[in-house]
Amino acid sequence: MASSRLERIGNIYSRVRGLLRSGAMKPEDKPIWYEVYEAFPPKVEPQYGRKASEITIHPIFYPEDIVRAKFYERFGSPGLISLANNEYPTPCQKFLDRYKEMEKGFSDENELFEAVAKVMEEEKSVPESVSSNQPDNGTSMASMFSSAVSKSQPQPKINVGDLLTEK
Amino acid sequence: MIRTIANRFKWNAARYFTQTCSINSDASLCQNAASLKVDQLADIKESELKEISDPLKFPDYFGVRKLFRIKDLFDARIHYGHTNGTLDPNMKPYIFGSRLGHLIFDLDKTAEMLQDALNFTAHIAYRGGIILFVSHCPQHTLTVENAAKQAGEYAHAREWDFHIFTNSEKVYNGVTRLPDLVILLSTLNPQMQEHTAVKDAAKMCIPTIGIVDSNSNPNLITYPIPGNDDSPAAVQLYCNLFRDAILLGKSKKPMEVY
Repeated sequence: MASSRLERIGNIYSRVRGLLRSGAMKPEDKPIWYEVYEAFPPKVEPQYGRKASEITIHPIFYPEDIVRAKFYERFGSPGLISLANNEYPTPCQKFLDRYKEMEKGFSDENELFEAVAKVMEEEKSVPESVSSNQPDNGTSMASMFSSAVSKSQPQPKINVGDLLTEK
Repeated sequence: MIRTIANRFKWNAARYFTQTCSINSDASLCQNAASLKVDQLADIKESELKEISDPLKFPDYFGVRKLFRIKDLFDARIHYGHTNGTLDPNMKPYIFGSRLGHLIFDLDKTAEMLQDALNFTAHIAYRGGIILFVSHCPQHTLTVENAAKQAGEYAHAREWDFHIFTNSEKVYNGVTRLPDLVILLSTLNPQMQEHTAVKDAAKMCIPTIGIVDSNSNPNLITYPIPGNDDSPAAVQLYCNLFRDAILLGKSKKPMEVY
């Protein structure tokens, strides 16, 4: 039984069709998939050397991203967030929900942000704000280091001579 | 011979279905000839019988569209692609966008192509074709092999010997029958190169269905499915869907009338 192994020329359907038409492959030897392929051809014909289309991939951004950026700048990350858990909203999600509720009362974005932040802080739904005067609230390396330095107590000086002379 | 029609079927039960059960997918569309009464069968000519019961005439004879919803794809994290830098240019039409450098697949397109692939699989299973599940990712070997076992088909989830398809008679030392369909759960091997099965199946005129991630080339694959091929949840979902499509196809196989 004849076959064609030229995978770069046409596709499997065009090659088998050619073999059948020319008589190289007998109709009894028609592959099982041939009729199924004819009835349900793929949406895009497989072709080895097809040139890639000139499509630009657009970045995905949402209007809420601006609020999210401001939130994380102000309050920092709460640490671990489980992406698989859809039950409990994260502090940022709660903030966004409240932001949407209060949106109608304000025209200026900054004012609205401050107002929502105040409300949420009072409710203690968000962590305390990350500001430069409070280094121990931050999670960055620099802030952790400075907080460690400020917290570290002076080491007690041990006088070995005193230890050894006293009985 | 009258077959019983199960109006509502559960998928756990379907795994243990033998050929005596038949599933009614869409009552309005499919007039399954075997569901007619015996005396009516005698009146209809044999050629007309074939006309009514030819599965190829129906757009979704096996009801594969009901096997999944787009939310199931989303929950299994199928829309996660790799990063911008590893994008294969041929995958651009299937990308929805890039979220801070991470590519996201367009699940509408994925769903459509997945339906086509599942429909094709069911038809091949209906016609008694041999289906081979192929994957080279060691993490998913067990998932793939189990799915093949449950479907009653074959799997090759280990290292691929180069001559399995192209020189099969030498490798297996005897007359061999090659698979009629190859389902690739991942088109890349652990060395991040195109899996040999893609090229070899195209050479041997075997149709392929493949999950193409954003770093894979879909050109040689007959029915590519753009989607994530790395998450265990995603691979589990694909395996379940293909296994279910195969079982659907087999369950509707025409029985011999004695």
